[in-house]
Amino acid sequence: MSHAPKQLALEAYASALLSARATARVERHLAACTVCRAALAEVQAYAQLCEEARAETFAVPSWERLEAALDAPAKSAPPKSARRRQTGKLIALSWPLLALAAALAIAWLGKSDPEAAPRAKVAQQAHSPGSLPTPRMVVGFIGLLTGHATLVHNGVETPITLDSSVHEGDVLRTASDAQLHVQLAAGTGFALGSGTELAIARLRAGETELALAAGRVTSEVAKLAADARYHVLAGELHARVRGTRFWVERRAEVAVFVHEGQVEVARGNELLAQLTPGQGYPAARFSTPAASPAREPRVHFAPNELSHAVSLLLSAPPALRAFVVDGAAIPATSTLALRLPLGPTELTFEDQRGHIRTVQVDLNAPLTKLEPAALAELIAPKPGPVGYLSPEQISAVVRQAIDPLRRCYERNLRIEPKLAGKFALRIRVSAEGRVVRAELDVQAKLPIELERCIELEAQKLVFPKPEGGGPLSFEVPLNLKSTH
Amino acid sequence: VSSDAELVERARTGDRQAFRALFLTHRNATARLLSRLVPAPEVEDVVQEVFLQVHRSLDAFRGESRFSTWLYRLTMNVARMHLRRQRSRPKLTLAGQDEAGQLERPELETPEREAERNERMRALDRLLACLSEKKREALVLHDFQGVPADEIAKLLEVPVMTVRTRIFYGRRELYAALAQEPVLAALVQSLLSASEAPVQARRAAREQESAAPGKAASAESRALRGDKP
Repeated sequence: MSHAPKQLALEAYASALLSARATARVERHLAACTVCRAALAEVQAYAQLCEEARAETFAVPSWERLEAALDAPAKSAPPKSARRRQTGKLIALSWPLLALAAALAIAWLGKSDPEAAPRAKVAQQAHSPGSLPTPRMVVGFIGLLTGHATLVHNGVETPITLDSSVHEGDVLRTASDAQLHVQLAAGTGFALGSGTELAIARLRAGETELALAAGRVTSEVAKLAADARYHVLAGELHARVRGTRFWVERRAEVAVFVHEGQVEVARGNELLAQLTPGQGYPAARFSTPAASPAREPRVHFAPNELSHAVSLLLSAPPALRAFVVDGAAIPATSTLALRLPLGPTELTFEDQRGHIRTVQVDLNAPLTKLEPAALAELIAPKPGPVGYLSPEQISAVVRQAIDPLRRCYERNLRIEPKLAGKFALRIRVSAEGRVVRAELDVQAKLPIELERCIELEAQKLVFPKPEGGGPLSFEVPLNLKSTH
Repeated sequence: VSSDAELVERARTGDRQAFRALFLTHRNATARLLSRLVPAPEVEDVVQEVFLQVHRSLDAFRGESRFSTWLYRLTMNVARMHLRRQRSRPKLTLAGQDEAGQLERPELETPEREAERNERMRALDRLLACLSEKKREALVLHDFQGVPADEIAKLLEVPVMTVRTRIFYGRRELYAALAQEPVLAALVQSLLSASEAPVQARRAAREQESAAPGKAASAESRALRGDKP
């Protein structure tokens, strides 16, 4: 054997595949050749790695997860052969039926009398879709209210409070200082911006039709059933959605912007645009990141929680700049009314110096009113325990969110293909490990939609309980790098 | 217990339980194969993608090869498509961390030896990722999945000699690259030291013999030479 090691011979030797004579010959050579001994060590190392790799275990998807994906719409088609067989069966069954139907039709034509036709029509009408039971009415609840807003119900206009409910046929109006959120069902609701007038044209199970006369309505729609619909009409235009989050604005012109999901914008039967996240209509208005819309608060409840909800009235003390609801800052210029679940909850505020303060309140009365003095005392800085999480603990949790964060980035790349850079994501974690605030540094100068998306994803993170029993804040540096 | 062929036949007619049985039987092997082809955090998702594809393509399985062979071929195709998509995807990473390394392979708190083994596996993956797609696929199927070369040839639709050549050169590149990864270089060194020990002992014994000719060799050197004491 020369000093260029014979790979196959060494592999065979390492795997004990050689005859006794060949083994002895190789061993004699190895004893004298350092090059081949080094090569043999590499072969043995690789063999050990293969063995270790074969013993490795991996996370595999569960059957439940796969089955859910199989049952998901558009992907759930049974194997083609099964479909073919089913179709074949139907055809096989239907030929005799068709023949029988044809025979009966011929017989009926032979005996038809003029009165029979109207009777048949009446019978047909009785089974037409129009005669199906009317979908049940849905009632909306006010989840958040700030400023002055009114509700026109049966022709009578009254100020909106948290006790107001919204029905089909009602009209909602918000003043220039007002914002409100209406919860329709779990995951479905809409928010009215300031100076908005919205008529509830239809509000039934599976059918929502909102007519926007002026201002802006932001909708969040949970995944709809196949036959359900959610439309927002604005003049001649209407926006049709499935599961999504989007807004429609009607001022000098009508505009539509999509946060999540897909929205069709149509005029009559003419489809004008199919919008995906980050896209708006008309396209020219949303061509620059600066034109991206501001964030709006969302208030989420499951309907059964609504019955246990309590009202909270927050009157702003002078030291307060904004109430922070679901990551959106609502200027603290008037009382904020919120419907919140019973029990302990965290409230977040921004003070005049831009510091974010979070306080715990226990909502146990039907109506909790926090007057300015009480609120000022609550939000006054108090020394408390400070929590600690190791960089490894933080990093492990943040890594789990990388894919959703990347999706946020990908969506925005469609609008701005050169979007890239480094920025810091500031996260505040409560003593329980929940994210109470996530925001990007102002230096990031990212499109507002990307900021919002990243912050929302970050808010879903759950950290281990910080050591020390207190909350903590930290920054997570992120890199955006496009391959284009 | 039903065979794969029976299960496939039943699954084709829409029998969900038969498809479930196929999935449960093959998901671990599919994950093991994918683990050497796609980044670890993506394995679970790609396994799911493979079986969704299997469900859609059961008609295309003509029974000319074993179901596992057909499944491997489909897995390779899904992995290739996944990697191509990934290559054109934008990157969002935690700053200061290498996406191919730390980010995609979260360190787990494990006993020391397990941590070392995990480290070796990650290093191996990095080396495998440097091989050409053709060599990597042949090597992974043969050395890590235990698929015979003739079956790989059918699966990849290439002559069996091509498969053997790819395995040979793939291994050769890997052997040469082991030194690039400190953790693997350490493994090679430890194996080399272990093999050096008997050689050193023989050499010492020879020197001792030559220094004192005629004297009986020590028991140790006799044993090393295979002599009877």
